[in-house]
Amino acid sequence: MRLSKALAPVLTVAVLATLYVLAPLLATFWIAFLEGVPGSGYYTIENYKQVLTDSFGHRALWNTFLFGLPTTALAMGLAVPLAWVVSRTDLAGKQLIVLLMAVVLIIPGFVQGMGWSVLLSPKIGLINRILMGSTGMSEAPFNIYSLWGMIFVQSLNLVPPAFFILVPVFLGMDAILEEAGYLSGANRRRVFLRINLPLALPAIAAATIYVLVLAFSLFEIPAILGFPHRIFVFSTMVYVLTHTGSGIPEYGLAAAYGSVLMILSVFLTRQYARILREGHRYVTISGRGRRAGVLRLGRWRGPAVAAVSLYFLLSLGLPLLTLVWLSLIPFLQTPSVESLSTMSFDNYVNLLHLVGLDPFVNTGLIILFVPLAVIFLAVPISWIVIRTQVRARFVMDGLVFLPTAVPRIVLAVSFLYLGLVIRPFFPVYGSVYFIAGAYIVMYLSFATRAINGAITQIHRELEEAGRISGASSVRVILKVTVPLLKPALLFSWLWVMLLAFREVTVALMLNSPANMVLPVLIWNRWNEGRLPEAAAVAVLLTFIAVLLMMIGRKGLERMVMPGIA
Amino acid sequence: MLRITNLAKQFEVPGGQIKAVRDLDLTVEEGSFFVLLGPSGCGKTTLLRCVAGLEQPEDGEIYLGDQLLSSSARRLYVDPEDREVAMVFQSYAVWPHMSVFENVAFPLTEAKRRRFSREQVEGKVKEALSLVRLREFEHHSAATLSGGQQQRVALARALIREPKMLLMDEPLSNLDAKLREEMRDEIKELTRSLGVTTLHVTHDQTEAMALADILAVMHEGKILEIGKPEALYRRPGTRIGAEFLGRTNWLTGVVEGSGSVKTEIGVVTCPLPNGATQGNAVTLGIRPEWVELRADPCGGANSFAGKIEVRIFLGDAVSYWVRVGEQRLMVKTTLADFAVGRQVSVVMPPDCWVVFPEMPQPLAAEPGARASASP
Repeated sequence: MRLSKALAPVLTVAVLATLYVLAPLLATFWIAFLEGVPGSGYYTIENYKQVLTDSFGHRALWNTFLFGLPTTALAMGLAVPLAWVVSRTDLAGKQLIVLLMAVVLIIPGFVQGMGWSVLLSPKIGLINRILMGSTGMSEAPFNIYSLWGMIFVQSLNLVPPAFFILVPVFLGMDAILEEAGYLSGANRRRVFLRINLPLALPAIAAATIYVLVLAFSLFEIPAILGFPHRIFVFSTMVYVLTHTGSGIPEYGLAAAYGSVLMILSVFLTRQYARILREGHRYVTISGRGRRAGVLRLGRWRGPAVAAVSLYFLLSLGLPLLTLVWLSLIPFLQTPSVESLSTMSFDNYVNLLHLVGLDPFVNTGLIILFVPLAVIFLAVPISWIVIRTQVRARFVMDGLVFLPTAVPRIVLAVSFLYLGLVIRPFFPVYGSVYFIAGAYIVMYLSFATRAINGAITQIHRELEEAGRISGASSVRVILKVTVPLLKPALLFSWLWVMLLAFREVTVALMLNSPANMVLPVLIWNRWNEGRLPEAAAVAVLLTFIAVLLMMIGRKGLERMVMPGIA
Repeated sequence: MLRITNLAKQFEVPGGQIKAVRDLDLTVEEGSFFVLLGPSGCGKTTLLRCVAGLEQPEDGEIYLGDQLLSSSARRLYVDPEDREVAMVFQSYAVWPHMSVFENVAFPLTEAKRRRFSREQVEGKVKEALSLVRLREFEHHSAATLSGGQQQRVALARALIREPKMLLMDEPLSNLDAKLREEMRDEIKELTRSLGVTTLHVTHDQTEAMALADILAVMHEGKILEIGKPEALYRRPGTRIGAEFLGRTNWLTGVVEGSGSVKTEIGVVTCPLPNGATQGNAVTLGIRPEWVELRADPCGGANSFAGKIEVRIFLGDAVSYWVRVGEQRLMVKTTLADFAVGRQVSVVMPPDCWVVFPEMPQPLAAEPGARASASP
């Protein structure tokens, strides 16, 4: 449909939003060439030189490989069988498994890190203490503050993303392909090796790349488990560079490292998207293929149930229970008859008193403001991309997606620097809106992705009928398109709210006394050694996050869109 | 009422361009029911959408009454919401999140020039719904309606503003056969009684002939033939036109003398196209219902021996495949009934044939011979 002049405001919002998203990404390169106080720095290539020569950086890079590769391997080693078992066998309780997977996805990584820290810290870890007590060992058998500790917890944490990529693909495998194999005389094992596995390989490859990118760029678990024994990876190094106790934070150097990571990450993410797209075409011959049959587990049922249960025990059960235990006692003790008697809800009851109202207010402001702002910006962008013939629209769509390929820590550096630079004109630095602004950049693409899909399903003629009936384009968007977008808008609103609620990395990077939010509060209390308080807030955060997620799922299931043409 | 001149519209597709409408001229008289007929991809819907303002043509001018809707020369283009046309879409485009009332009232309540009071709107909506016999559904949610009901809502919504022109984009295609016939007759009756000028697009030839005052056959972006349905049916001017309106048996042959052509089945007496001389290659066509079958052998011009190969019972008629020589001819009749295998005489009166010169390229509009007999 031809773009009418009345659509100028819509186009303007879309373009401005795209530029807003693009600016911090491009700024990373700009900052990398600067040194000195933000706003009055001087240009230099020293930062990139240092990237090439600095031994600290090299060690961090090496650690990143040592950490990222095994993590990816382990995560995929768990995710592929789990996804397979859930999508292709008759294992009971699949709904529950999927739900628990979503919970693991939602829980901030550092909450899992905290839990395992309490269990396996060499000095105070509960499991260590119990083992030492019962066997008389003088040294703790497990040390979570090591590369292996980090690998262990992070790989558990990265199973859900891979799982949710693989399950739809496994489910979508056309029955015909396998059945042709059986009818050609091959037995189950051969069919699996020669047909199922090759067909699944593109999806597995794509998921592996996705997990690899995450393993190389995530911050939370390397921070919680790496800092105590000074094991640094790329993301934690960037944090340290910008949060040194003395002197000017080295934004330029951080940005230089960050820019390299960003390019790599964007490149790999593009490969991921490409492989996934081609893999989808590959697996289902026609859109109406029959779902492949369910395999009976038989004598494998026991081991399968055990494996799945073990996974959730390690990723969810143990860390959360530990934190709940910690939140109910006045100081860290191993569970025993005496310590059980010290249990109380004091930490919760006194929470407001202990931490103040501010973190709650700030978090509340964020989850109120960010989703609304994101939707307000996303609808014009999606509408322009899907409905118009504007030539730049695909560029716009791609640019809005760029932040998802960029490590959050890198984005945060850019925001930090830019906030300081524009402080004389826009004193937003350090306020809660500063964090909100960063979140908008990060989460805009979640909304555009959902809304893009929803607009595509709204028959074009519904809008054309509106215009032929005499209403202007903007009026048609308001009266016809937006009401029909309600489920997608609600979905985006909820998801963005959830993601903003539990985001740690960026909030920590942009943290200041005035914009303390709940996740950062947990971090601070933890580092101050006030473990029970930290645990209490962590449990509260997790509980609310899971609640929001369940409401979202239920709410969406109940929302039935009357037949769209 | 509607005057289109030199209209051209093309689309970009991967690999080049598609010229959907090419140098097209069209005039629709006020109050008439004009039908555009053609196969998918012939450009009829594109043409309709250009009139609606949903597509902008590259070239040409469109006048509605004395309002210029679009002109490439004058760089003028009026938005759809500012044109005095109304449209019924193929999918009906009834808004599922609104009630029937809100759907039909939309052009009055949401249009840029809103001049009606609430009472006036209510009155007009009730009136429109009565016209399409949907009064009792006024407050139903539009999502609960059947296909036929949705179509009537779309019609009411289109007519409520008393547009200068009503555009219909294959509105009957998605209905089942019986409903299609009912709605077809209702639409004709409604538009006639209201005196609404209508431009209707379809690929269904029966629908086209039943509805049209004037019928235009479109092919590859151009108008091939235009005229009253009966005239086009009985005396098609082009081979494509003949094939698109009803069925035709085709023979090829060479002109022998004045009025006779030697064909695959023998010598046929028929009228010849202007300027056809001995030795010219021609194509002959005759409709199945004009071929006569007789039990007894008979001589005479255009009488051939044939054998019934297939018999298809259609309810109100019987269709046969009859083998004559090397050819199979389709014959349709209500008069006699023959068993398979029966030998018959196939008689094809001279003035039932249409004859076209055989051209090297199979397409392009070719003027053909028309018999002197009036339609």
